[in-house]
Amino acid sequence: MNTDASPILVVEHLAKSFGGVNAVNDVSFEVQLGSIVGLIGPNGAGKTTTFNLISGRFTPSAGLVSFDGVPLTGKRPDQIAKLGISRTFQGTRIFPKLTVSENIQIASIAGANIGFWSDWLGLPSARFIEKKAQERAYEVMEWTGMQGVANSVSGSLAYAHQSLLGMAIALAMRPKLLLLDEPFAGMNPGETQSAADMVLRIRNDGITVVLVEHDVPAVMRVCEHIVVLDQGRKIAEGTPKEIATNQSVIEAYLGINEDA
Amino acid sequence: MKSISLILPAIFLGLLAPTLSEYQIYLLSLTLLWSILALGMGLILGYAGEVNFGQAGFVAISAYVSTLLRTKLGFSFWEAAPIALATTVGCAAIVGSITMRLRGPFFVLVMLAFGEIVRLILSNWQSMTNGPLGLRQIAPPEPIFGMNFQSKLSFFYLILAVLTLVIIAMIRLVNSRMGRVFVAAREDELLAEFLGVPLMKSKVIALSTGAFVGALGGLLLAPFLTVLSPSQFSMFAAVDMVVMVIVGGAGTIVGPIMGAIFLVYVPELLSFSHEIRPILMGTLLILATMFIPSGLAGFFTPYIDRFISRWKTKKASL
Repeated sequence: MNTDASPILVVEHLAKSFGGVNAVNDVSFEVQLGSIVGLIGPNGAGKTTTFNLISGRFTPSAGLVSFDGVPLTGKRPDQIAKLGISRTFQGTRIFPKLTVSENIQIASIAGANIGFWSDWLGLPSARFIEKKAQERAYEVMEWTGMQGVANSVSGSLAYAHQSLLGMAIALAMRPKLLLLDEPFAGMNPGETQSAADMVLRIRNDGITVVLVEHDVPAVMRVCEHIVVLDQGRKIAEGTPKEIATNQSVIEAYLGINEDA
Repeated sequence: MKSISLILPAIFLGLLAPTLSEYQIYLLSLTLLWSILALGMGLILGYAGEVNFGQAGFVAISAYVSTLLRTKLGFSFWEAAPIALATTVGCAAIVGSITMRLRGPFFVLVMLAFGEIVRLILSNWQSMTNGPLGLRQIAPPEPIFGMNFQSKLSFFYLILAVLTLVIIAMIRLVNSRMGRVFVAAREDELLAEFLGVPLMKSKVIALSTGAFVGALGGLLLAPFLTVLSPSQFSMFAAVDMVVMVIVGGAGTIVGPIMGAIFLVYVPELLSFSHEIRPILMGTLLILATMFIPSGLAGFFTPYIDRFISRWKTKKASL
């Protein structure tokens, strides 16, 4: 890991309220380049809302998110995606009617900057981008070990495979920062282990990862830095060891799951 | 290879046409014209996944602008055509940027209203459009490059040429990045947006390109029918296009063409009266969605594939 790291993502005093309910309230944290950060907390703590605020699905009521020094306020999801942030969704989100390879190929090309005419006429500039996207799609397919199911309709895959495809789609965009929303949900211990290995490999490939997760032991194993939310507020932050012994975290969250 | 299999029928039709009676040529021309219109609808409905009941409005704008430029200002067909096309695409871009913010049923309703507004303007702007009586005795396109379009047969070749170009252009488009972006946005708007697709822009492009194809049909429609009246561009014209796409197979290129063939020839062969046409359309739409949701194209594709592969193995064994 990079020792003299600099923050790639800065979240400052972020807040979002829905009709008077403060889903996220004055949350600040930093994500260092090349790290794996876990965002944990009980149900309704505001973890997914925080993701939605970073990725542009919701606009913050207050506060600021900046990525690589660029403020993300007021940007649309597609603009944020083009800056290099990609995300997965809770319960996975894929194009179920398309095949696995179609899913990954669309993801690799969708955000590319090709003008309408050069795209339609197949000009060399467009072909070059197309070729690079094609290469990335193969790379991701190989990397996630999905070549075997490349031509299967993705909606017919087992859940763990769909979840893996969700990650592959996000990776196909060549992100700098990957936001994973519950990557281990609905998985058995073996599947969780291989998904956790995948997260480590993604980081070792140079992609910073932030993940939201309920599976605390898995988060403890994978993440170097953990941010704990409860009822929209940040209640603790630190290394897994620090979090495991933090009194307010144990009270709010870990206490219930001590044996987990 | 696929594009060749679509172009071969065009060559076949071209060779066949001189042997046909004038009535058969008329029917074929009508079919090809409807194919162009159905392909325009097929782009927005089949690939972008938006039902555009205002498509007839775009066709009308192109048909009327080109015809009025010819009759009022003395333009030739070929001079009027680019202006009419540009006007239509411009209208589509403006209407699109407003309506594409609307989701689901609202887009359908606003486009329905747009089509009706165009029709009402055409009916009521009597000094310009001659109102409900319409424009009559529209001349065939002026000769160009030594080609003359006075005869029904030569006009048929013109329509065939335009349709062939539309097919080639559309195959290119749906296989380009833009085509795949349309499909991504059709399948899951939210996911597409997080993959970096500017939703609004891509939908406006889909609407405008669909309108452009419809406008090409509109250009040819006026001199083909020789009369234009607002009643030709009612909502039912758009419904006909929708039915062609659904019955033929949405999300394909052959589908809308098969739909057009089916919907021109079947009523003609069974000599349906004009009044029960909407009933026929409605019934067909229900039957198609119930029994062949992937349309005629989806229904026949496995058989065609089997035929081709059998033919190929036979060729290989020779």
